[in-house]
Amino acid sequence: MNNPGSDMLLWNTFREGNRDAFARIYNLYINDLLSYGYRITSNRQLIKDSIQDLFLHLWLRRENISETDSIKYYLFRSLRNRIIKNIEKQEIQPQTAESILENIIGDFSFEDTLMAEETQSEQISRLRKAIGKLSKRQQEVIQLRYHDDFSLEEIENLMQLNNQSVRNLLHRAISQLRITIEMAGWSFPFVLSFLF
Amino acid sequence: MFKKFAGYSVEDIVKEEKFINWVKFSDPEEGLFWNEFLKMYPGQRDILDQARQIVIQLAVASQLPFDQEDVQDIWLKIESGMLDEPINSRPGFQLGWKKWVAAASVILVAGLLWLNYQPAKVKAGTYAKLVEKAEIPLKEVVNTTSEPVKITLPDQSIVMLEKNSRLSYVNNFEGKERKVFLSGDAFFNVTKNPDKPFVVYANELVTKVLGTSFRINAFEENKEVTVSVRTGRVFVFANQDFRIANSEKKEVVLIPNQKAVFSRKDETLSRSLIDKPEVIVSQEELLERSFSNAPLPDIFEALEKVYGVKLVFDKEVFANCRLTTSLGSETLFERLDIICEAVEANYKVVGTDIMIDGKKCN
Repeated sequence: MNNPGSDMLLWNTFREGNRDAFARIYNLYINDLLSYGYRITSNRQLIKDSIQDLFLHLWLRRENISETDSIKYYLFRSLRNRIIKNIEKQEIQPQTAESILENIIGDFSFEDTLMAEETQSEQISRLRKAIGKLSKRQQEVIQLRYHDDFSLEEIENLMQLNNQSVRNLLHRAISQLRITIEMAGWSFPFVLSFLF
Repeated sequence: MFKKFAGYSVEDIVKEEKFINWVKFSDPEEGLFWNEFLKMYPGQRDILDQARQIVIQLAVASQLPFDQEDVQDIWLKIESGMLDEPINSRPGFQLGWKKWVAAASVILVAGLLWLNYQPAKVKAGTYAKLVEKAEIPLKEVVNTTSEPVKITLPDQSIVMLEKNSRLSYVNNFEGKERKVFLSGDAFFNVTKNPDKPFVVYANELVTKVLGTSFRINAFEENKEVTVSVRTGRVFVFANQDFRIANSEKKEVVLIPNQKAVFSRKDETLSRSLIDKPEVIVSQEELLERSFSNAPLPDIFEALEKVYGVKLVFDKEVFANCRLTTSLGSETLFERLDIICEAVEANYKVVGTDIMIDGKKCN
């Protein structure tokens, strides 16, 4: 759920060439974009390049880009298309030694981050592992729905699926999560009952 | 309208748009809906509570980690790309553009470093802004002494205002709420009045109670705003006037020995245990809880009741451990240190829970 009015204002201010508005857009969404990028590919350099290209393209062509009442949706859709296009391009051109090295390094630090998180909260990390066992598309739908707060309709357009397919995907993902968690003998979270 | 949801399982509820909007955005319309639903189907409360936890946990767990370094790294590249943009200006400027780019990059890097190492995003004048917005005549008390000052409010609530702190309140508490504004540190003991909530505005946080005692620490220059609860139930939420961009939780309900911490840097609101959880039951109740050669799980369960906390442990592991102990006036962690040392166990605090691991006793 976003605020269409304030999004439109920020977007239009940026389209008029305001650098602060542009920087604000970057700061507001960069974390979610990076995180979403990893859902599509584990190639760190490709994600970074795609985000850089996307923002530079936005700035240089700001006078020609369309209005939007959801900046986040606009950015996610553009980034997804860009990453997929770049993956296709890369599959045709063989990787250079340098970029292969970059990816290995990228994956290492990715593992480190995962390890560091384990201590934070056992429950979260268990759930994270259970999510990791889902299919790629199920993982994506869970992230878009629960972390990025997109509506089912927005998810349909982002993932280019029809309404029923998104619902089925989400349904299967949630049932699968419950089964994985119960099979591993993990209990669902303890809840303090609130009086409010 | 409600009937549809009456037979829903946790799994069904977590997928429901109306429910997600309530949990994640505190949508007031949905709040009304689900509260009404619970009035009609009180038996569904556990299901809703579980579903709420799952929605919140999914929001965190479904995010993939990334390297924070990349955030600056990508921006630097974007900025340098922005500088390559053809600029229609004087030719003299065009000639020296390379030097200008170099200079700009230095300024940019310096700027980014400054942003990175700035200790806290200090929002000067939050208190002044809030007071100004109040639009009602306020009474102000400023503690310039080096000792705490005791203030009795019009409703007989007591405030211990610490040094370098200031408090404003609406004269005679006119209006629907008992409104108070705080800058600094204060302990509140609020007189019960269910018809007129007592509301404290302190920096980015709003704390709402009916009658309880709690402490708020909200200095303008600090990195965090905290609300710690001594007795009763306290409702804390982020002030809508200060935009919270990425916060996962915008409201928390606190019970005794819990605190809410608002990080001004990340703009996140989280719930955890206070540093020194104290006994929340009466002395008489405490006396009933002494143990002679008792199984450890029973002692842990007593600790949960006495301090109002949740201990997470494996009952089977500790079933054969026996201890003789009484629960005195020490803080929870002092007591846990003693017990854990006796049975060679370890504990750690995770959010508002305490996880205990150990090995079987013979």
